Amino acid sequence: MSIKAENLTHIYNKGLAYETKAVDDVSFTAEDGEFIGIIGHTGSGKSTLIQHLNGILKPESGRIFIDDIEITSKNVKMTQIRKRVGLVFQYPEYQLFEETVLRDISFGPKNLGLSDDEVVERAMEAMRLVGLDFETYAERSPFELSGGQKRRAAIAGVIAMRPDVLILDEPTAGLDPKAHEDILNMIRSVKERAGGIVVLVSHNMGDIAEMTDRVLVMDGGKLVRDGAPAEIFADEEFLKGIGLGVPPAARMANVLAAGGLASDRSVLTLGDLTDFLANRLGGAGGGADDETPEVSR
Amino acid sequence: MNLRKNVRFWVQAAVIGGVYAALTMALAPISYGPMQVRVSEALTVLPYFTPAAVPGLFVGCFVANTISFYGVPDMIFGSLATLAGAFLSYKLRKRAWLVPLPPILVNGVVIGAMLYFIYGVEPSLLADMAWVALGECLACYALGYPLLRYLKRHERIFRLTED
Amino acid sequence: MIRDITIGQYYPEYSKIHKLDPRLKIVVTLVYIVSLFLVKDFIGYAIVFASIGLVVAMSKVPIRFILRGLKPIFLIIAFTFTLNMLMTKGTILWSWGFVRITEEGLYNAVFMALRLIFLIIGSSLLTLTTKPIKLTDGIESLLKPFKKMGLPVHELAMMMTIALRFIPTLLEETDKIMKAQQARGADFETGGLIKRAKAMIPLLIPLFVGAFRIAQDLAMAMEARCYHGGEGRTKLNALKFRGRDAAAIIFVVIYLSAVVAERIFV
Repeated sequence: MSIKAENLTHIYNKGLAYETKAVDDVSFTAEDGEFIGIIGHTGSGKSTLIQHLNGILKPESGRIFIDDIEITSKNVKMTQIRKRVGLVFQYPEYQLFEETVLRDISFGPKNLGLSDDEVVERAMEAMRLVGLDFETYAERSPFELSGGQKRRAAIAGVIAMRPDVLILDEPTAGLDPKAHEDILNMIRSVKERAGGIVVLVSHNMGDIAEMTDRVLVMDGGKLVRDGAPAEIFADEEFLKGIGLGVPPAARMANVLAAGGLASDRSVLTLGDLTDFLANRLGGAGGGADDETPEVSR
Repeated sequence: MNLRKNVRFWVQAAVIGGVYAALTMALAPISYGPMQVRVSEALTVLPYFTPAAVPGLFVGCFVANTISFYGVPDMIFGSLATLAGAFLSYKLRKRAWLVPLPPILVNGVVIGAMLYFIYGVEPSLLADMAWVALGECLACYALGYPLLRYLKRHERIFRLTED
Repeated sequence: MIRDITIGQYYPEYSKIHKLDPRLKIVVTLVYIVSLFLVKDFIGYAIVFASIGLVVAMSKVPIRFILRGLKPIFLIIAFTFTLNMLMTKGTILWSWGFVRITEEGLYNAVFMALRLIFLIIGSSLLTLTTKPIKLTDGIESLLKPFKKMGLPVHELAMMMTIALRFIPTLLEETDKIMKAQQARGADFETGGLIKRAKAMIPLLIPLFVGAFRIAQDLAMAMEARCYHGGEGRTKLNALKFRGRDAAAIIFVVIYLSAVVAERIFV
C-alpha cells in the first residue's frame, strides 16, 4: 500500500490574467503505516494537493499512483479511487444530510455498491472506531447531535468506506479543548486498528508533533521540506520565514535555551517538555551544565 | 409587530433567494435557454415550509435572471411568474402533492406567452406553453417533490424564530 | 469550474454609460425594448442599429462581451429563424421536397431574428454597465411610489442586496459540499434525469442547512446593530441626477421620435 506523487502541478484559472500555480512540481512517496503531516500557510497549496490524492482534482501535469494504479490516467474509474483514498474535509459535519446517523454513514459504502448487509456492518464498525455508540446514535437525526458528535459521525462516514489512505483536513478546527483531544485520540486509535496511511493537514504544530512521524512542508505551491518532525521543527527560522511556527513545546524549549538552559532539539511535545524540565530541574537545579540530559519520547 | 421576527423573516427570504440564484448559476448550462430545466425550480416547494419563500423565490429568480442572457423581459415576467406561483403554492400548502403544481401552470402560461409574443418562438403559443410546462414539471415534481419529502423530516431548520 | 463563474455580467469600466444614473438606465432599457416592437421594417432597424451602436461604443465594453451575451440564446435565434423561414406561406423562393422557403418567410425570419438580437444586446448593456448593487438601488428608487400601496419596497431591495452578497458564499458552499459528497462516492455527473435528480439531495440538504445557518447569524448581526427596518433609513451613496443624465434623456427622446416617425411615415 503506497502513494506516489510525481511532479504534480495544478494551475487555477489557466489562460486568464490571474492564473496561479497552486501546486508546483510536487513529488513524494508514502508507504503503508506512515502517519504524515502536511503543514503550510494558508494558500500554500495544501488543500489543493490533497484533493488530487483522491481524484477530486486532476493535475495540469504530473501523475499519482495508488499502489500501481495511476489515478491520474483517463481510464480510471472514480470508485476505484474513492475505495482506496478517503478524504475528510474541514468542518465535515456540514456534509451531513440523512435522516439518521446510520443512513448518513451508510451513504459512502452504498455508493461503493456493497450489499445491504455489508453496508450495515461497515457502518457499525465505523461508529465503533469513532466512539459513537451504535445503540444510542444509529437512529438519531444527525442534526440533533452536538458539534463534536456530528464531526465524529461525518468522519465515520468516510471511514466506513475502509480507505487504505485516510486524509484529514484540519479535523480539530473549531473544537473546544476536550473535543480537540478526543478527536486526536480517535484518529490515533483508528490508525492503530484499521492500519493504512493517515495524512493530517493542520495549522496546529503541536498536533503535528504529537501525531505524525513525517512532515511535508508546503510553501507557495512547492514542497519545500520533507522529513521527520524533529528535523523539520529544528529550523525555527526557516519555518517563521514561510509563515509557520513550531510546536509550543519546542518554542518553550528554545526560549529556555536562549536563557541559558542547554538546548535540545528533540523537544517537540508537551511530554517531551515535561521530561526535559524534570531532568534539568530535578538534578543540579539549573546552571550551565555541560551534560545533555536524557530525554525520553 | 414583533420586529425581531420581522428581520428574521426577510433575512430568511433573502437567503432562500440567494440559494435559488446560486444553484441556478452553479448548474448554469441547463438553467437557461429554451430547455429551462432549472434545478433550482425544485426549490419552488419551499413555500410549503415557510411563507418567507414567497418573496424569497421572487427575488432569487430576479437576481438569477440578471445574470441570465435571456434579457430584461425574463427578468420581469419570469420573476413575476415565480412570485405568483410561489404565492399559490403557499396557499395550497395543506396538501403536499399540490404544492409543485402552481409553478408549473403559472410559468407555463406566462413564460410560454413571453417566449411567443416577445421572443417570437414559433410554432405556436400553445406549443411554447406546453414546452415550458414540461420542463417545469420535471423540475418541480421529479426533483421538488422528493426534496419536499426529505426536508419535511428536517423541518426545524426553517424555524429561525428560535434562539 | 464553479470557481470561475463571475457574478453577473458587470464589465468594469469608466465610461459615460457606466456612470449614468441606474434609474435612468432601467427606464431607458424598458423604453428601448418597447421601441423594438414599434419598428415596422428594416429602416427602423437601421435607426436602432445606429443608436445602440453609438451607446455600445460609448460604453467601452469590448464587442466580444456583447456578442458573448448572444451565445446562449443562439439556439433560440436559430430555432426562430428556421421555423419562421419554413412555415410562412407566400411566394416560393426555393423548394426541395417538403422544404419550402418563401420570400415572406425569409423576410420574417430575418426581421424576428434581428429583433431578438437587438433585444438581447440592449438587455446585456444594462447588466454590463450597471453594478448589481446600483441596479438594486435604482429599482428601489423607482418603486418607492408603490410603497404607499403596501409594496414592501425597502425589504425587497434589502433582500436583493443580501442575496447578491451571499451568492459567492453560497457558490463556495455548494462547491465544498459537492466535493465532500464526491469524496464519499456521490456522482453528480452521470446518469439519466431521475438518477441525477436523486443525486441532488445530498447537495441540497446540507446547502439549505448551511444557508439557514447564515441567515440566522446575519439576522442576529443586524439586530445587534439596531437594524429596525426601513423607516427613516438613509443611504451612504444616494442616487443623484447629473448633467449627463439629462443629455441621455434628450438622446432617448430623439431616438424614440425617430422610431415612431419611421413607423408612421415609412
